[in-house]
Amino acid sequence: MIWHWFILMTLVFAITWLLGGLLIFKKDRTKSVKLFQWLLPLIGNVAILIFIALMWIELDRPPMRTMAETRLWYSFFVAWITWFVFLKTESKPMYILGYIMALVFLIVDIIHPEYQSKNLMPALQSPWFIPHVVVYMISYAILGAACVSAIIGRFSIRKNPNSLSDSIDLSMKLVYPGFALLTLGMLMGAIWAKIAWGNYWSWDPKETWACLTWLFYMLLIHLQYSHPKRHKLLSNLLVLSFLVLVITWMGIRYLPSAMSSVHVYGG
Amino acid sequence: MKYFKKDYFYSLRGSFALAIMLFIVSTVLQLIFGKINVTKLQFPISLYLFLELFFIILALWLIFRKHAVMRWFASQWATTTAISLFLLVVTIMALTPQSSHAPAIIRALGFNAMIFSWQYAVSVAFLLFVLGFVTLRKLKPFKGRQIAFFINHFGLWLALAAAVIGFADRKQAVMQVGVDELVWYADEGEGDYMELPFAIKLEKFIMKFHSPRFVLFNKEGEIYDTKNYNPITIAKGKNLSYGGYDIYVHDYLEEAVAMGDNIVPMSNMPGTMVAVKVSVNGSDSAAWIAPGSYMFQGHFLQLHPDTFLTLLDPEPAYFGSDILLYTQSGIASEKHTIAVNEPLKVEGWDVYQSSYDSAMGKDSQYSVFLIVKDPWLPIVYAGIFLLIAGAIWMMFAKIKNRS
Ligand code: HEM
Repeated sequence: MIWHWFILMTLVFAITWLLGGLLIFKKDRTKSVKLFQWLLPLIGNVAILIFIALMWIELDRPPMRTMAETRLWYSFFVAWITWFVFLKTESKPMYILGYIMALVFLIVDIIHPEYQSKNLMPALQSPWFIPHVVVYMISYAILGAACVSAIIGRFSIRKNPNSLSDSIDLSMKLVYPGFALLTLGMLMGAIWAKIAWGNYWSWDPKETWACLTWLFYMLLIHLQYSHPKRHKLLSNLLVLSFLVLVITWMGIRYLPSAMSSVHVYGG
Repeated sequence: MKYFKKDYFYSLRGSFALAIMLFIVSTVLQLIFGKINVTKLQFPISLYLFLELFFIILALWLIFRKHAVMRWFASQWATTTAISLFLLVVTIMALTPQSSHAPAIIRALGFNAMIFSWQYAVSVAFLLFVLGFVTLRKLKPFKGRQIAFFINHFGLWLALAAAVIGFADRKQAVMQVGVDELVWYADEGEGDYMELPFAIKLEKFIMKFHSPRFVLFNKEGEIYDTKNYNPITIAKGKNLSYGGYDIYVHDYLEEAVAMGDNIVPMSNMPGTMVAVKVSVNGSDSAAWIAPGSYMFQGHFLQLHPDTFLTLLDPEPAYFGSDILLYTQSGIASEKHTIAVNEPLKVEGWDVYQSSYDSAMGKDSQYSVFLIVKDPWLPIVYAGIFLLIAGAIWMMFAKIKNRS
């Protein structure tokens, strides 16, 4: 049973990311150091991919049903996006915080495996299911990276006054595709809801929160367009929007306004 | 007096302040007039409203586009006001349970039924006007990024305007159809029935299940927390490990009935249940376990003085109905299957498999369909597809350098 290997696998991911992380601080930047600093984390990233594939085969259904499963996907996308962002920008804090974020979600999964407590119910058996969840997870991962970049900018502002502006540049480069995917995920969800339940939008608590998240990022995009110099405001909004996103994703079940949501599934 | 200076409206603080002011004004309207009765906005009024909105925005823009007030309405500042006002309304909706059981003050403010409130109406109206003006302002030159801009913004305008104005035209009702019964009417709720331009005869209700799962429980009938255990697919001849026990599966029957202590295979009979014959930890004796049905009691196996093993009720994997369809406009009878995620289109209605007699499960003698008619759907979908196209563009578009 593949899940029994999860702790061991997490250790493998963690070690490859850690070793890669140590290399990025090495003083002598020889060719082989540069090669291994991206090759090592890549091994970890590929390992998650293989783990998810094996799980899919074993379960005989897409492993994206429970919270634990979506967190696994999230870690997967965060790991890959961190890898790409580092490749492009060589930002050390992005590398460290990105992989820490991926690890945190893996560790939450070790503590709360709640693994697969239910089978797929009929409404979830639809060709829309996989694209809908995958697109959302990629979007969440990208927007998470944008939030990390904004936080980094805030903390390194004393060392380098330009850092906030630079990190918001990076954040916004991430927010555009992240917001586009958020839009796609939401609209696919609407089309699917029409097919499964007869209405494309019913202001169910989960839908309301999804809309709220979308509006926060919409406000962000427009404010950065008209006020590109309001760095503090933009970085605050980047963090706040991501908080709203996380509540939408994981916090709904704890809200009094959402006890009756049809989108809160077991596990 | 500085708040009424022109400059104030061209500042970030002014944009936010205006959003809050509009919210307060619409809350006052809510307190005075109460919930908005949307049923008054049915066709043809909805159509007039939609066309008027479209042409008023167009006319106002064509006539006043040089005017200072109009320039503001088509600006970044108005955009900030519009988005943050709508965001505020949705935030309240996200935090307040949307139900009629709410304290009097919440009901008076309209927070418990936000989509019928004045705050919602005002915020959507403001948004549609601003979005309309912005889209028109950016129409020229119509090339490159401007096209992407148009697709996103007009897409949202179309989807939002059609969804909100068409809300009252959406009809839904419920059809409960018994086996072999022909039904041509639907229940609109509150004792109202309507005649339909089609009729449905239920031939057969079909239900399929996921494979059953083991469960451990104690004398009080409380289920042990087994959520950390892996799912296992039960199959004949398999050695399985569950909750610290080794379980060997001697036999697996999808449909069985109980005869005294024994279990025998039996299909095509009401009340059958799934059953599994197991032996535990290498024991020689094997026993049947079964979840029980509305006809038969469950069977379980005692493993310890306070631990019993049985099967959980299998979870539905599929349910649907084989039906015969008759329509006024000609179809005498036509076979169809309606299932969850597989609705049927007929005479402007969408027919959805909704539920069944849950006490009887797979032997349900009736099927419940939800029928929905939404004449504005094509316009909403046109908007949605524009937004999808815009999002795909946005994903690959080169991002302008901010500095
Ligand atoms: C409340 C509704 C909206 C209003 C009032 C609005 C208004 C505006 C305005 C005034 C601009 C600046 C254009 C300029 O002056 O050059 C803008 C830009 C932009 N808007 Fe919106 N918008 C709205 C909704 C949306 C939505 C739903 C999306 C995406 C799905 C979106 C995506 C964008 C993008 C990407 C830009 C930047 C354009 C560029 O980079 O060229 N907006 N919007």
